[in-house]
Amino acid sequence: MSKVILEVKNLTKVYRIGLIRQKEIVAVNNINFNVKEGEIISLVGESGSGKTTTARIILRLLRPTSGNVLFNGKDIWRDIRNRKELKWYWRNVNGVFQDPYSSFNPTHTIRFVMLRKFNLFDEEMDYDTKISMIKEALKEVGLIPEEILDKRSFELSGGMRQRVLIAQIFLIRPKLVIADEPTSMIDATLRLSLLDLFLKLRDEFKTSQIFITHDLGLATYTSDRILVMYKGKIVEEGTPEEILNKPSHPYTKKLLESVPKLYSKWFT
Amino acid sequence: MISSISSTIIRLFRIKKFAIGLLILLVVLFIGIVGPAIYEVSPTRTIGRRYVPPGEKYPLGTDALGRDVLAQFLHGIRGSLYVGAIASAISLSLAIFLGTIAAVFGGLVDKIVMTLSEILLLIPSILLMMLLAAYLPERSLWIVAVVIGITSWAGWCRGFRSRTLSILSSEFINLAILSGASRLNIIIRDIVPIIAPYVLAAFAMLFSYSIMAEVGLTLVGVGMTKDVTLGLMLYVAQIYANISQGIWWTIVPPSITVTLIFLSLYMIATSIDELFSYR
Repeated sequence: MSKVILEVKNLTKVYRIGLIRQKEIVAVNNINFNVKEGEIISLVGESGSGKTTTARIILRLLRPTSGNVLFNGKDIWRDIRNRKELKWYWRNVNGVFQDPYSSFNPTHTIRFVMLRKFNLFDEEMDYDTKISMIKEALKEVGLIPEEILDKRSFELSGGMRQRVLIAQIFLIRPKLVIADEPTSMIDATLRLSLLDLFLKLRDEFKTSQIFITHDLGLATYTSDRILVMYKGKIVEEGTPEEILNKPSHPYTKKLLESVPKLYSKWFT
Repeated sequence: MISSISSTIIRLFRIKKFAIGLLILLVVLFIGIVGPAIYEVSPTRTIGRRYVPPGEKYPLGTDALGRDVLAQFLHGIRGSLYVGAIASAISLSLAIFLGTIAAVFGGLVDKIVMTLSEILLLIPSILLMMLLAAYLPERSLWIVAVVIGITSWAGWCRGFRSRTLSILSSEFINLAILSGASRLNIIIRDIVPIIAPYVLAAFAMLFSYSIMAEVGLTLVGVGMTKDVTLGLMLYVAQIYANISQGIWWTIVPPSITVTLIFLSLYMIATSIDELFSYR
């Protein structure tokens, strides 16, 4: 069995709101899971189930209330202190977000966005090497580098923007990618080609992936393992076949029922 | 980059309000810069009888102390523009710096900056300026400008802070962090370019505010003691009760000019704001 690269232990995130009468919202409630090398797992759940919070904690953008995230045995909040270690972490664990429209600063060109990722690299490179690496990464996701490098995000379509985001992943080749609903704002016709990019990432670089989605159908397409989250807890875990054939938790059953029955109604 | 900037400028000039405002400002600027060089009469020396009406010898007459009003007027425009530029530059840089730092760093930094700005906003700034100015033994144009600058950043600082906070909630800030960008880098490369149009509008507003504040300070008697500004002209006219005596030539030109500067900058500021808040 390949080795575990990410471990999530007893992770809890509580949001407190209100000044005098405090109200607690438990976004993530004591979850445990791990990711092995080259494995794609899916976190499936409705909005508000804590998927995105989990993603943000793993990306070290949000501090958990309690619990640990271990990457290669290192606790990402306790053992990573200085900028160098932080860069090392983000070099190895990086993400793609849900909304390709707000994922770009409107004042930046694609060239700048891509060049910025070289912050994470330890090795010194000259400008030409960087640009040729960027071009290669853009080609890899099916974009024509010469056409888009000097454009700004608002001159590109949603699908192209999402591809640029994925190209950043191809550029830095992390060990683990956290993809937070990368296809939810993309046309249905483009979804499959984007998902294939993630599979290509795994096949070429053995990148592990945490794929976050609300769509059980998409999850079964890519993942090796599916975790179903409901109200901050992981309520079910298993391979796609297990989840599809023998759902045990009532929420999973409901999820399965809610996959559109378009074809069965119209064609049978 | 260049094409988008030039198209923005073209759109800006299509707004009539902006074009008129800019024209007025340029005329006033031109008078302030070139005027004193062409009309070489000292604004502070007594050169004739007091209250000579406008005529051939003195184009705008003389004031209560027998000084040439036209020379005072030209130098006054220059002085007022100086005060406006220096004071607004100081308060604007303080506002941008403190506002973005407060939003990005949060926590204690945010609390300190916000408390400071609350104090400044709660105490009427003219009172603060009066206290500061009265405490200083000698008040040159520069010192008055600095006093105005450091007492008027609070409101815009809060504005920039909230604008920055709303930018910070965008996804691209998270992506910048994931690219290993430092907080300072995020302020310079992500936040400042987006708030740049607001900076222009803020500059125009602060500029006119500073000129008015200087006039106000001088009118209550704690302004300039050395240099000539439009405020000083009005102050002298007011203490010698020129208004009730019907000596119009010492009052009308500076008041009209102050109003015009204020109006033109206001027009520029609002049209810039209109242009960028459309989207």
